[in-house]
Amino acid sequence: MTTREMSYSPQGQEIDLVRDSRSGSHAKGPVESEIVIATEAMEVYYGAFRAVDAVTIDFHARQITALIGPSGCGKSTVLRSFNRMNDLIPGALVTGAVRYHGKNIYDPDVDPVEIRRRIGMVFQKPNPFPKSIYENVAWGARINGAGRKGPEMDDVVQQALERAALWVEVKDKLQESGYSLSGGQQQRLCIARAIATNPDVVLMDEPASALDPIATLRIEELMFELKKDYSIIIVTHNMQQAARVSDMAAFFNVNLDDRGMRTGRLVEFSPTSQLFTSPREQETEDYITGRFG
Amino acid sequence: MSAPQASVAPSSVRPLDVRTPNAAKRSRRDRLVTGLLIVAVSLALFPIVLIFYQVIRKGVGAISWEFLTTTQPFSQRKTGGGYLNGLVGTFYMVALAMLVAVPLGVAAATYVVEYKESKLAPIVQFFTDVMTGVPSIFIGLYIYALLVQGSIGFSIGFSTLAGALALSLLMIPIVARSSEEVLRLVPDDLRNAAFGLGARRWQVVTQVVWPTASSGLITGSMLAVGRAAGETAPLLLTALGAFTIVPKLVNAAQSALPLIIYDEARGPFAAGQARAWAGALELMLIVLVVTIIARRVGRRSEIQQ
Repeated sequence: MTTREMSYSPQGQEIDLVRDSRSGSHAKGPVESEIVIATEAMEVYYGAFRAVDAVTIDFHARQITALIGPSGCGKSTVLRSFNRMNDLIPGALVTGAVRYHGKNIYDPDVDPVEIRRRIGMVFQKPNPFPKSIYENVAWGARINGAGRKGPEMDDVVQQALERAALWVEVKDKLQESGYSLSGGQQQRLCIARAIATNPDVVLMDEPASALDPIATLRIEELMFELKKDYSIIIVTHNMQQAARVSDMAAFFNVNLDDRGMRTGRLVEFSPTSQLFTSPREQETEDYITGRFG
Repeated sequence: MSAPQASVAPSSVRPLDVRTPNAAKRSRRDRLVTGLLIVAVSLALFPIVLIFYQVIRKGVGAISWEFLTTTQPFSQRKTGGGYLNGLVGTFYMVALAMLVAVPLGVAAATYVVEYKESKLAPIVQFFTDVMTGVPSIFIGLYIYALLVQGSIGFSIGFSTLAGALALSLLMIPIVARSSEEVLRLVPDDLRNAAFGLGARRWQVVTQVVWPTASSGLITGSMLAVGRAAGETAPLLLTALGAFTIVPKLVNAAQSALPLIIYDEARGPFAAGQARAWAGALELMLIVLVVTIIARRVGRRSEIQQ
């Protein structure tokens, strides 16, 4: 696979995702920035059933990390463990450690609400609130206790919408319902809503899987913009998307036990260019070349 | 390759105008079942239509401006007068009952739906279901023993408050059950979105779930109001009845439309019976209006998505 095939061009400008190997930027590249989230032998259980086997990964600041793998491999479960959204599922349990800037977010003294304010989330299906476009964005900022009102809140809303590349399209109809927007616009509204709370990490759970190719492209362009300031972890079942947008990629696979229970497992975590061109594991190669999955 | 197929295919397709032998049998059976269903629906509607017809026929003759704006005469034998005392009493008690029942009912439903991991939630739900089935005269008897007779330690006598509390006990399970249904309709996507933004549970409930479900919650409450407005049994032993407009909350028996209707319809006097028909029409219209408004509110903003 050549560099050319992997290239991606937001706003018509060519950016090679697979950087020149001679510069060596990718070989060590990701390791340079600080670590925002680090999992240590993290396992996720639903009741007695182990959904995900020991995962140890470091996620670096201002990078896009993609979690890929076949259906049922637990990649979404892993993602939801990073901001304790799994807490909302009765019987879900996370063992091992998920360190956010060094602090295990599953320590008893950690408030999950505080975690979710720093680690935002964008879901698979666009899920704006049945409120106005303005309120959709302002709500998150408001409940975060910023206490901003009037013109100050207007600025927060405008900035978030601008960063989500939605401002131009909605600036004249901020008081209309969030549902009046198209699917792709709704998803960008959800991204604006997530970044209005000023998080540090943004988790995206297949953010473009419900969107058409053009809307998908816009979300991907947006991710490139956002990674200047945020660390992004994205779950995607679309390998081309992972190849286009991510710096690092983690491949998960699924083990079926004799009772038919599926347990996800991390197979390989590498720079995206390496994972898609010369994977370390045979399993990864089989998956990305379409031999299964 | 495709051309020969295109020419062969039509000849193998049975022409549409040739009916199979079964077709006639099928359509006969279809007509038969449709006919049976129409008969069944008519049988079910027959008594309702008769009631409406009777109430309107007898009520329209007896209802008048005087009836709506004056209170009951002291004797059932006398003509004239009206049920204003009952109308005021009904509004008074139903409004109070609503103040008690709507918050409690919505709170119970919210607890059951939004805090389902709690061990208490299934118990609350069980008792809500049980309360729905309690005969309304038991509710009246319970309030009578507790507050009118005063086994609780003090007595409030036959009164507006006693009647209102009895009605509220009747309304709570109705409000709770309907609210539960509506709250379950709120998509989990919205809850996840709110939690994902770092909302606390009370913020999710009060700022996302309730506003989303608001029209349904209002509908359920209104239907409970309509139901309570027409109830007689819980009031027999609590409000008792009165001939005048009673502004007092405690220690003074209160009137209500269904109570007077029950009273005068039972009486032997034509004048009283005529008033009872007019009262029945008035009550029916009130319940009808409340129900229609409730349905309207429910339809106006269905939960989106």
